[in-house]
Amino acid sequence: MNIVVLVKHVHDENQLKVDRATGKISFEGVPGKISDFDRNAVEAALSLRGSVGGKVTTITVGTDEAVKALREVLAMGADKAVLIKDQAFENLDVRAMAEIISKTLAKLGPFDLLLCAEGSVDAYTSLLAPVLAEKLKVSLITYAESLQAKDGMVKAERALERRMEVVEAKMPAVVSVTGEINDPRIPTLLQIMGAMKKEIAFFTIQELGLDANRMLPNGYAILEYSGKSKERKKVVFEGAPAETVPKLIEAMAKEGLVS
Amino acid sequence: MVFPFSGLSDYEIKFKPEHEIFRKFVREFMEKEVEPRVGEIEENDQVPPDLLKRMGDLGFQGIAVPAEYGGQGGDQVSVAIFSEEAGRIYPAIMTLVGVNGLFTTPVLLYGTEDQKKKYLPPVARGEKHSAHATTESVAGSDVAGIQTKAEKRGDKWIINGRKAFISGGDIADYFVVLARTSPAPSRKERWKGLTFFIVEKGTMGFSVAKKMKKSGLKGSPIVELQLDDVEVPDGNRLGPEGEGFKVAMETFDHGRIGVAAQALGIAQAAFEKSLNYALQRNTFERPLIQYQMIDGYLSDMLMKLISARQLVYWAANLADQGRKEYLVAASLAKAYATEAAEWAALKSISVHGGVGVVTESHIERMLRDVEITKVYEGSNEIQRLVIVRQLLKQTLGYDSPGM
Repeated sequence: MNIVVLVKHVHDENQLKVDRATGKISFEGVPGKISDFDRNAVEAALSLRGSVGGKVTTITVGTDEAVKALREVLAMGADKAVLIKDQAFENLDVRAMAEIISKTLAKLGPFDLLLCAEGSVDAYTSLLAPVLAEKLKVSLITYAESLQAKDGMVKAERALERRMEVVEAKMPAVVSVTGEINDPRIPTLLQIMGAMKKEIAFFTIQELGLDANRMLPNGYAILEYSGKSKERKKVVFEGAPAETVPKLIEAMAKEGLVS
Repeated sequence: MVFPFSGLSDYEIKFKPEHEIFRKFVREFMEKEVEPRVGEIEENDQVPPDLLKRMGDLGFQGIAVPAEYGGQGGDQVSVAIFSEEAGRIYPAIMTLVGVNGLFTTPVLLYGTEDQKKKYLPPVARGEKHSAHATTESVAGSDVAGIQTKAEKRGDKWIINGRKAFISGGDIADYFVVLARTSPAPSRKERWKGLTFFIVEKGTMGFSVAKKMKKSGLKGSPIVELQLDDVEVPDGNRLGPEGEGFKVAMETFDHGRIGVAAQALGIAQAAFEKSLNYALQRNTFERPLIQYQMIDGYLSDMLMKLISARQLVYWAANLADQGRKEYLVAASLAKAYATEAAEWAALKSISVHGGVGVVTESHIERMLRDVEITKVYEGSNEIQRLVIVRQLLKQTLGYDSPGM
């Protein structure tokens, strides 16, 4: 089975700096990391390979920095890694991203399963899987919390807000996974060192027959990020509990917090 | 020359991309799988077997053992990275790994091919545990002062004696045991006549005598070992007869960087926790961080922390280049980092105030854990002798008289 996993090298959200006065978020000097649930997608791919055999190829779109994410995925056990690189790739919109990935897939040959995370920790649009499935005209399963593949079919439990859904789809399929699907493996030092020797394939978007300048105007671009904060009301009720508790309940009811 | 080294490049520290990846994964393991269980380990004075097994599966027990013997084939920088990240969360985890290093190192350096093939892979994979038994209640730094004796009978050795302060001895399957095999030729040559043997758990006459209670490094128990007419074949002799002192010294030279890095991790934790607390805690309606004396502590902590970090990874770099100068560097790093960490742990208690001595805060634990790092793997007093003696040897070819 040919499994493709999409990963994204993102800014570590725990290390973002926010200017207190303007609320602007600065990315300067913020280290990158592999987006959290991408590692769940990788783990899902590797465990599927473990049970049914096949190959796991990982693809990322980004700058040279993204090689770090690919090395981690290779250390975890992926067979092959592909980087589509271009310095103009900051702030690509989902449709442009889907275009790049579908062209890359065309170069790599047919796949059975394409896995990605339910969202990336930066923009968290959760749109890539559906847009990509539509573009590739293949089945789509989102928010998978478990995954099995057998006889050309993929079966998943979907974790939805109020219910669990068990679905089955024909392969090839695009599947997005949640963070609950598994615990991503930790590679050994030996595997990490082995991953440093594996080859990473590079493509530029020109090599994919695309033009970055033409892709962007069709979509949207993120111009700026800023932090949002909410002032707390800090209401204090003083007095004996017998008096203050009803006041608290009344105040909370007014806010619609209790009914 | 930039005394005592030959030039500026001798002070260089280099990391490879794989080191950073390894560090991130070790940190993930420590934070996700060790940290939540620290309370349990402190309480029971034991690392749960499933966690030990997990460490073995992740290759942590064989970082510096070559891949051909079941290890990870890692360098000293990688050992230091593991030790630091373990020290940052729970230093006993490093000791549980370090004791295996004190077994695998002499086997790697002096073992026969048969010994390497038999003993290294299971230890490196974490399937078996090992320990190093040199110290006795009467001889610690003074290795040549040990009383345990081994006598040759035919092609067998009979060992008698008692060992103390043996880390990991409670769970070890294999031990290296140092014994006197011939009397010292003279007072000046007391170091001659010692020999190492590999002793397996369950050998007749060999027993774990007593678990010793201690303040820190819970989860890494120390025990006494009793050897009564323990019989081992000559094939279990490790290294040449009478050369055990040399084997011991070389082993400790290798372990020193790990201990320095373990202390570095404690210093790192002390600094992170103190800074965090100083930002969050208000007193007299201002956060602690706005008080100059607190900032003085934090700045000094950071100075010591970063100095220790540079020393540790510099020593590890020199070791990986196979440079002799690493001996001085490792001793500098060990003495400095352990004392920096002790200072940071003490000041962390000052910053935290009463909270700092509450067990649940895990602040006072850093102080309990750091103390032994100043003592084992060559006490800091011994390091200060080694530094000057090694320096004279390295720069002037001057061999100063023994102790």
